Amino acid sequence: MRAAASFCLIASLLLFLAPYSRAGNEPPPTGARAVGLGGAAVTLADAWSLTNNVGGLGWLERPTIGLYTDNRFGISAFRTTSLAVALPVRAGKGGTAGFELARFGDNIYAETRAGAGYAYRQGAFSLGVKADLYQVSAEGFASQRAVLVSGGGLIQLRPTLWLGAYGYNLGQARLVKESDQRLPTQLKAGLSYRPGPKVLLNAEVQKTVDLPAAFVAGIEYAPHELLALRTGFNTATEAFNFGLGLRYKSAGLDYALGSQPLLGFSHHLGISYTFGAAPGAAPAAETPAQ
Amino acid sequence: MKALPIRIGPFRGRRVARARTRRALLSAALLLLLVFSARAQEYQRPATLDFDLLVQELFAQQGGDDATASYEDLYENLSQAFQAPLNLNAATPDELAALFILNPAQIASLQRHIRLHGGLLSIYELQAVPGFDLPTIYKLVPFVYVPETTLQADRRAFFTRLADGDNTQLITRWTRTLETKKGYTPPTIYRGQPAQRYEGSPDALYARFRSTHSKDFSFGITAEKDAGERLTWAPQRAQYGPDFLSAHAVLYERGRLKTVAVGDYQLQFGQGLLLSAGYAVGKGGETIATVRRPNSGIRPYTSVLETIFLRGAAATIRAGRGVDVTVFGSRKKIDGSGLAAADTTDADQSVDQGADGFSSFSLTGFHRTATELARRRNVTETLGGANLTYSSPSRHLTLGLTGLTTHYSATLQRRPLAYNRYAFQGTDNSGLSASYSWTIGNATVFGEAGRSSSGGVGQLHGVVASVSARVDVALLVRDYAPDFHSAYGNTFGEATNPINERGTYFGVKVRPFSRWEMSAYYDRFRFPWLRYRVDAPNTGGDEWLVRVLYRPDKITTLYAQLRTERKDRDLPTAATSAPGAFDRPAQGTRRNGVLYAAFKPSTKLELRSRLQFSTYQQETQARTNGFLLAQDLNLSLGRRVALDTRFAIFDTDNYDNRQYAYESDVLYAFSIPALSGRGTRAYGVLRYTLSRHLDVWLRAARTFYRDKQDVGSGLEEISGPRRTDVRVQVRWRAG
Repeated sequence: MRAAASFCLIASLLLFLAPYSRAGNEPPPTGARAVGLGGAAVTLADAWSLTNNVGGLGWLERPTIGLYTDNRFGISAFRTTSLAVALPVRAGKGGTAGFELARFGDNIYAETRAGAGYAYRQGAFSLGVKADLYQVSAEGFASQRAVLVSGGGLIQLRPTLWLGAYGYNLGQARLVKESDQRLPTQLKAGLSYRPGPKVLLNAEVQKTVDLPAAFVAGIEYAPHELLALRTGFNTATEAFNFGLGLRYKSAGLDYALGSQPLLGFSHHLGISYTFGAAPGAAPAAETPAQ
Repeated sequence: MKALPIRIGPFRGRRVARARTRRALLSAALLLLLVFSARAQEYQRPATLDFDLLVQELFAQQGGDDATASYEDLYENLSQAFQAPLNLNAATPDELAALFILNPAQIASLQRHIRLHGGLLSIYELQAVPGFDLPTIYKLVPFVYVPETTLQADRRAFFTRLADGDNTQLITRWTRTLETKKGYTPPTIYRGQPAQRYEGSPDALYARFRSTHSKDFSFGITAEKDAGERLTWAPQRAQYGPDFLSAHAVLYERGRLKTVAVGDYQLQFGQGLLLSAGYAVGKGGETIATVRRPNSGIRPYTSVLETIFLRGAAATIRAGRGVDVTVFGSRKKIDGSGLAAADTTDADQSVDQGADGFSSFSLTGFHRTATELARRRNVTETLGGANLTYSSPSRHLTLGLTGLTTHYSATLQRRPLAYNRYAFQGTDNSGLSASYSWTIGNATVFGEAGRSSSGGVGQLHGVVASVSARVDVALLVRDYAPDFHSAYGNTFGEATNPINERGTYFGVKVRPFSRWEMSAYYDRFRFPWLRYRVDAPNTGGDEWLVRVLYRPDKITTLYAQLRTERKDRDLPTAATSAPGAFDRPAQGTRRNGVLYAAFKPSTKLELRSRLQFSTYQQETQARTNGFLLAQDLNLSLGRRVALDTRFAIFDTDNYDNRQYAYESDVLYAFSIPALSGRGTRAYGVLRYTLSRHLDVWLRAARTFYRDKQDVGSGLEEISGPRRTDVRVQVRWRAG
């Protein structure tokens, strides 16, 4: 497994780099499916891999578009809206490119992100990189911009076992040059156990510099090919999430309810559409659940 | 536990075409038959039960004395289940669930197997039931059996059956601590009065006679005298010899009467929100099978815990169309602690019952000193109610409705402390609840919601599902209001009593390979109102556990378990407990780890090693540690003699890091002492079978503290660093 070896090398390199950065807030998981799994999404391959682990893009074979919106704790300003597009080159044989636009906040305070990523898969192993142009605008202040560089990979270790790792903002960008305050840098590594086509069990560790490590885990169960049920939790935020996914042919609708004992509930909604004909009868274990 | 001598691969029937499965099962059954007609007629159940692993899985070891009490109750029920094993071909889903070994999908799978292929022919056929893996079967076999022939109804006369009963036995037990405790020394003079001492001898005595016949009858009488209690005949104080006497007579299956009980009994309905008995399983290494409680109805009471049973009569009547009606009434004397001044701490108050009433229930059951004797049986509790249970013909759907009302002869008037604000007060309480349990495919949804006369609502809802042949999951949400009052309720949660708690639990069990089992849970909880030692509302925390079990072969068991709990608790400050003074709670993190290895190279010898460690840290306080290393050597010298021994070393910084380790004891006695400090612990238990009718047990256990000169506190104090307990038990069996 040369691919595995190089992956481990990169992962340990990421870990080695981690202590040299500082952070404020951590980037939240994006996509209603990821949220329904408690945020344990580093091993998923869908349009939202752009945010959750760009390495997952390498496993996509068809163009996919996703639209996502959430509202946290019933506060109107705490709203995220995001659009993601994944475009496989030669059905994924030439890698997959992806583009993302996301905005959090309201007129008074907003964070906007425009990102582009590319991932390439070789056998059971994929690797991806992504760059974000990140802008913070607050009423009465000048807007600030920064470029964030992220990278990650996704490996299928066994027919039933997947390993993913992702580093966000590896360059430890600053919003203001004169300040030493840096945007959050986060590392995630996780496993996914998929004993059959109906079940997916994810567990991962997320560490944002300067914040306690979080253990997140989630399960997805599809009692029917049209329906998926999910639940997951995050030990750092004490969040317990529940999710529901509906899939009909190439279209998907996902909803997640987040709960945090002190802050209350959050709602997450996403739709996705996959273009083109389904690739030939690929064994279920070969393609990560999409 | 004795290993099964042969193995065949587990079947995963869901994936295989049905016809193929059936053929495979038939040929497997035939193969098994051939093998076993040549080898042995039936699996030999072990003579004594090795509870070690089971206890480690079921018992959460969360500490707390109330938890220990409910463990004893659970242990008693498991012991009974071992003594009177279930007939697998006739057991109901609830009876199987009450063992806490099988998940709902396995129970449904077993029943489907029996429906399709007829009753099991041998215990070995379990290996051919879809969803049954070897670790599960190993755990299950001590509690079940398969009758050798189709069981004919026993048509002999009732008194013949009674006299013949295989499960008719008399147990007597004597226990004593060899060192002299302060309570037995001559009294010192304090403020001109002699200080209190125990009024009885340091001998603890126990006797029990019981005769049972499965699904037919159960009769029993139990007597107990705790160490320090008097053995007197004092009818004016309603004491007839020993301090605690209990008796029951229960008949089953008498026409329309499903069960009728007179004397001491317990009730378990729904998820235990209003009535729970003997199934207070906490969060532990078993993360799936313990989440849903069985609907067991009336059970005879055989323990010696003096507070958790009902005394009177109860009957379950089959009303037809799947409806069972249970009516019950109970009247018994309980102990109420006196009304104390407001500025006292929570230490045991020695004030007698005043004219106003009582301030709390005394649950210890000890009546050793003048103070304890003064509150013995000083309040009368009268309780009555009914339950309606509907079961669908397939038993996949169960609906229940329970109502009960309780009256105390004196007013419960709690101390005016903030955390008692919403607790039950007064003389009367009623409760009404509705419960459901529905099995759909491989999933079971269940729950119960109830309301007490205070207006408080308590509810819990859950689902247990086998989402694949290798993955089981459980999810449970609970919400018990601070003013939901249920004296006999005991549900899933952080606290044993369903009050003042909200939480969400998620458990999973994975069998990635045939000899491996991984289980984990995450539980998040909040307490809306103040609690004992938590002086702030809306505190809480979370808890998670990961456990990996590996059985490389039939003689070896290995497991590792890690548990972390984060929970708010008052910081240890010098603040007084004066009214209006509050401490500041802060989150404390507790971690526990266990590494365990058991190796049984021959039928005569078993070796077990166990390493336990813990840490506790609260905010900026220093981190404290605890450690225990134990080595067991268990010998089995023929069928007649068995000797279990242990030597353990423990070293803990404080009581927060106390180590609980289950110990072998004489049959029916439960021992899981909390060890703290620094020292050694050793014990030996010898079982000798004199004849078919007579067994004798001898047990000696000694704790030797290296860090202190006196053991215990108060009247339990021993001068000197050692404590030695000896126990002798004799069992006589009929038949």
